[in-house]
Amino acid sequence: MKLFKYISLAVMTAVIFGSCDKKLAVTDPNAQTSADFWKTESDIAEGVVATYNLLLVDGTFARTLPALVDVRGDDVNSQSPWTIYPLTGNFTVQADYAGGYDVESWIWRDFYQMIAKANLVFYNAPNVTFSNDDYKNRLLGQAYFLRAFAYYELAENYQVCPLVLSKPLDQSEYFPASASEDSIWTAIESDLIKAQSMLPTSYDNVTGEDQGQKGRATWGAATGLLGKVYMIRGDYAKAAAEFKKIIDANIYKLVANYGDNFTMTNENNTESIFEIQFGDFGVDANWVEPSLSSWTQGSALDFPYGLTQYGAWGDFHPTQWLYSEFKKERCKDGKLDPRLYWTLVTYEKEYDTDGDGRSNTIFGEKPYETNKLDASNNNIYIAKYTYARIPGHTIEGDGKVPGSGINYRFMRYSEILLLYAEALNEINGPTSDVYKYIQMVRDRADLPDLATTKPGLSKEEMRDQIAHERALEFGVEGIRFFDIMRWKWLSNPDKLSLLKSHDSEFNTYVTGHEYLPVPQGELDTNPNLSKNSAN
Amino acid sequence: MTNIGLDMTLFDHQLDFTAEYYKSRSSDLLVGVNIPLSVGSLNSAPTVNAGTMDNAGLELSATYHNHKHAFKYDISANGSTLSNKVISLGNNGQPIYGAGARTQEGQEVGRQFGYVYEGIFQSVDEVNNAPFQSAGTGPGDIKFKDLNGDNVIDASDRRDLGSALPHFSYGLTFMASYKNFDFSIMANGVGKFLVDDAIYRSLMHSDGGLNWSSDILNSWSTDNTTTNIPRVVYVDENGNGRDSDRPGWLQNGAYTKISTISIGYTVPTRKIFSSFRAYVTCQNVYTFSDLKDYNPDFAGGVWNPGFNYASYPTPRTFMVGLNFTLK
Repeated sequence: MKLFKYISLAVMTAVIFGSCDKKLAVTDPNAQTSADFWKTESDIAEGVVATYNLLLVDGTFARTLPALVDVRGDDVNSQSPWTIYPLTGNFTVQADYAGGYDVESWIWRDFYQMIAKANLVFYNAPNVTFSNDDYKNRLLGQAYFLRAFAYYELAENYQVCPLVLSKPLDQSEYFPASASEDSIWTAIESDLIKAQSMLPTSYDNVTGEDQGQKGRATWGAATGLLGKVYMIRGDYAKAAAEFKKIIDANIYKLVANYGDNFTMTNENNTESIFEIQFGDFGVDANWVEPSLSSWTQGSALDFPYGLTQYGAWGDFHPTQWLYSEFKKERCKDGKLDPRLYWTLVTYEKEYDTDGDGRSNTIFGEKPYETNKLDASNNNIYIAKYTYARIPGHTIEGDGKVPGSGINYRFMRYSEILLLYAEALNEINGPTSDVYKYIQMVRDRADLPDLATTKPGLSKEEMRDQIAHERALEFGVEGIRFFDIMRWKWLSNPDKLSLLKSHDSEFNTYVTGHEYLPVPQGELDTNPNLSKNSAN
Repeated sequence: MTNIGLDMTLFDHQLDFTAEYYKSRSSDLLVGVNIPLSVGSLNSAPTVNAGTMDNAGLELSATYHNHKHAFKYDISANGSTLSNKVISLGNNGQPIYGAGARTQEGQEVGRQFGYVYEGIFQSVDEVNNAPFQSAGTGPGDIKFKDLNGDNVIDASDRRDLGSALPHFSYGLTFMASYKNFDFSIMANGVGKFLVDDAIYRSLMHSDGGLNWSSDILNSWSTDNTTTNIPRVVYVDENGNGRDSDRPGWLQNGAYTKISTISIGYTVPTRKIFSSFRAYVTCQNVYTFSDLKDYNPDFAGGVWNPGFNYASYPTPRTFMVGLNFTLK
């Protein structure tokens, strides 16, 4: 018995000490951690794609960002029972809406996730060997563009926010203070200038995995956004210089049919400077990160904008003012501005006889004849970014949400032309160049020559004319309200009265509330964070 | 962990009595500690062993046995109190919010939290003379109390609204036997605490057009102004449904439940069986409760113990059975 005891003791001792064998310490290839990643050039490339992914989620371009920008403008209003929409539209939404981490925080949440991913690329790139410098610059340039884009949207929507420009290395870095408006815009400008120097004008002729790929950020995208940033900051000379670079580079051209910018065909066309790539690929919905591999990668915007009569949610409607604005001027051939057809769903008798593809047939039927839709146009609807004007469908989004494959065009060449004209007008008043570039956009809509219909405008009058041109060219495109902000119409009593007459939601506008409030949940969690003028 | 107790048996085993005081501290509780969204992490509340909580209370129980006659019975009653205090949350001293609830260090876990109800606006003048609530606030909407006096109703006008934990729970048992019959009935219950019943609240929504509880028939309208139920309006900008102590929003969750009734008959032993008993038992017999829900006996969440969100109802069960042992 004693021998047995000694033998078992010896065996146990051997097992205990012998079991310190690292062979059992393996990594799980099905549950990758950051320790196993970020080793090669293709890891960095995947990291950049992951950063783009944040443009497709609910808090960014799939729904909430365009919706909350459009509703604050005088082109769109809301009577939705989901009160975040009317409350944002009438400038009275509070920081703790539905608990402080709800819809008004989604934009903040998702853009910071995008920034964190870009920062991971910057953190890990120095440790990776790249096959060639051009490819490395393209990858880093895209990361700079995307980070600048995220801060641009955060600054436009929330006024002030923390500037996180590198991966936090310690929990003590999790609670940054808000940066000043100036330093945020300076950082955006700096990232865009870097991106501009690193990005190609097109991926068609590059050497690498990204050859031929459409939708990636280009030199044109970085330059266009940089010019827009200068316009927002009031630096018209620098803005004009950037726009001139794009025009002189001769890369972009307006497409002949305005509607080709708002369907899921004709995507990434010659007019497209940067567009968000939505698709109709998979089967499952996905609203936030982390995203499912079976995800449709579709946009959800067609449902809040679309017709309830055709299965959508109808959270938003265009204002009667926008409709009347389209009717102010007819085309050279006497027809209605084609942009009305592609922006709004209204009944126009002449659509049935225009003979150019316009009609009052919606979703394959004639709702105005059966009174399903109101032919008196007391009720009007949004067409842009819905399926209403796209033949071959019988209900909105084919019933799938998010599932719209319509890419969101963030910036089109027509914006460069109109911004260039605006910048020149600010610098030197309405020169013939100003008329020339505006007319390029009007020509595409077959509108008469502005130099003939309205010659000799003053600088102030030209500003109003440009505002009118932009309202028609960019209605319901997430642009109108940011224009109103940068033109400072909200602090101009005459202009504010004008806005109130366009959209009664401006009646409850209070100074400072053009911004979304910094989310209460974020203020509660981060004691170093500052409120903004809407809190 | 402190435990002081007393066990007594008196009067020749007729009366048992137990009293016990306990105080226990649980540490290293798992807590999701919030980090700012600006960190860009997909998980904005990583789980950490950061929580510490104290529970203390007194448990009393007494049982009376009467086996002197042919009809034998035992009656037992017990009651216990609970006092809960969160010592630390590890969230940099910040509170943790749950559904309509807030947990703060130094207080009970998951206390109900929200706005304070002051009545219903009866006229446009009243709305205009009151602190600003929303652009769409009108007659028939709820008036909330301006706690910090800044003339605006916002996130700073919320406060602790009461306890979401019952402080007293009790049980009663009665068992009897007569000749070959046995009978038992058991009941248990809890004392008052506040329940945020999500089903009732969602059936009493002000906005949209989904189904309602029949209680909504008493909502405010110009013909029905003496009610505490706000108006029905398609777009509820005033946020009448927000977490608050408006009547109906925090209900008394106290209940007494007859949990088991059982009757059995023991057949005198025969040749094959050494024992044979037939019984009928009903479980979850009946619950006395004022809560407007089908299940007062629910499990809320960690940070909102008083939040009943469609918890699965306990069914009533009938059982008929035979217990026997073969020789």
